[in-house]
Amino acid sequence: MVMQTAYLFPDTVSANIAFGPNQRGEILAQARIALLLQRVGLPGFAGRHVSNLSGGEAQRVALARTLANEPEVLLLDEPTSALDEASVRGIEDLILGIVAERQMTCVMVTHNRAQAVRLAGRTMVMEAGRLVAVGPTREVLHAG
Amino acid sequence: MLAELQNSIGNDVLTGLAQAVGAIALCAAVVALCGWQSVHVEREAAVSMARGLVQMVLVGVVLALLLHGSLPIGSLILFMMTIAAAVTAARRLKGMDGALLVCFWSIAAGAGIIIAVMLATGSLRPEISMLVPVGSMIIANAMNACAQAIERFRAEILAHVGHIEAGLSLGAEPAVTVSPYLQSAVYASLLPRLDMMKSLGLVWIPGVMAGMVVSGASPVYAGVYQFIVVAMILAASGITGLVATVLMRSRAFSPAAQLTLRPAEAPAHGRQSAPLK
Repeated sequence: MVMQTAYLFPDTVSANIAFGPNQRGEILAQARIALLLQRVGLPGFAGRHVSNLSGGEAQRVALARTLANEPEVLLLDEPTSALDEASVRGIEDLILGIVAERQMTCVMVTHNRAQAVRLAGRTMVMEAGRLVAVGPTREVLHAG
Repeated sequence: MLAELQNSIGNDVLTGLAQAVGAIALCAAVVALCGWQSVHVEREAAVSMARGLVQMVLVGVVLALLLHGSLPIGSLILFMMTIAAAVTAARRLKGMDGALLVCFWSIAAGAGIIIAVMLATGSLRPEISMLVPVGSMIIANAMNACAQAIERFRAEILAHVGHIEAGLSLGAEPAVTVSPYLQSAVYASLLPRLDMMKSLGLVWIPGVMAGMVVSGASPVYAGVYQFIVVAMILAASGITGLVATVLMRSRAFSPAAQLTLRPAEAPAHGRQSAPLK
């Protein structure tokens, strides 16, 4: 799960990425951490302290931290809502690429119609806590 | 018993009351000074002083009546004090289910264990005249440690909801996600007691030692005994802080490991929905 804010733990990027596997008693190899960082576009960031990251970089580390757990389903809770426009597109491309290459299910919450069109195959519209429409994104959003 | 009470009321009491009037006058002057700087504590100070005086006079009367009471009576008095301390500390946890029980069990564990150890080792005699004053000091400090620990722990959790939920979402156990905040809360609750220990004899000479010296005990023994009391206060505070935060931690999460202790404006379920842009 990746949230609106990265909520990285006050430690190095490497320690953040290794956190999930550590909870299961696994030690994540430095090579694996380097690969994950490379995949999210942050090669060589492993030793950096999270306080030195920009908002976009922090969100990329949060994504790498989640992927380190090798999830079958990726849950994204408005992962770009706290980012500037340039960072938003970068994260969107990253999400599309990762979901495509891992063939994984991704459920993402957004209030941005254009972003839903760019990223989602199917969309569910919720209003006041109730599901009001489900279907292919273009059909659902154009009907609204 | 009544003879004990009559014996204890004499010129000393009248002198003490006159001195209390002087102390109240001094406090009133300070309160007036605060009011001049728009710090208004008049009502609270008046109520606190009235309560404090009445409570201490009542304690004196009870001690005079029970001066030669047995261990069960002393234990009952300490038990009632523990309940009062728990009620006072629980006021800091308004809105939290089971706050009173958390405070009671943590203060009872901290103060109870230490008082029992002191009785077992003979460093505290089972006479009311000694058991109640020393026990009350330990209970009062356990109460402060409890209040400080739970208040700090709650504030830390509320300030780190995002980090805690990030940890939970990555598969961490609830205890792991809040462990840094538990540690800082227990440490914060111990700090005043650690400072008290460091400054013992340098900055202050506590009441127990002063009382023992006045009543003719060896000043060296009085000093050593005072150290024992302060060390026991530190130990009781540590146990209380640990038990309070561990009990509170178990109440901060649902059985499904969801964080239920949250800021009032951010309910766990049902986030306010914004319209599609």
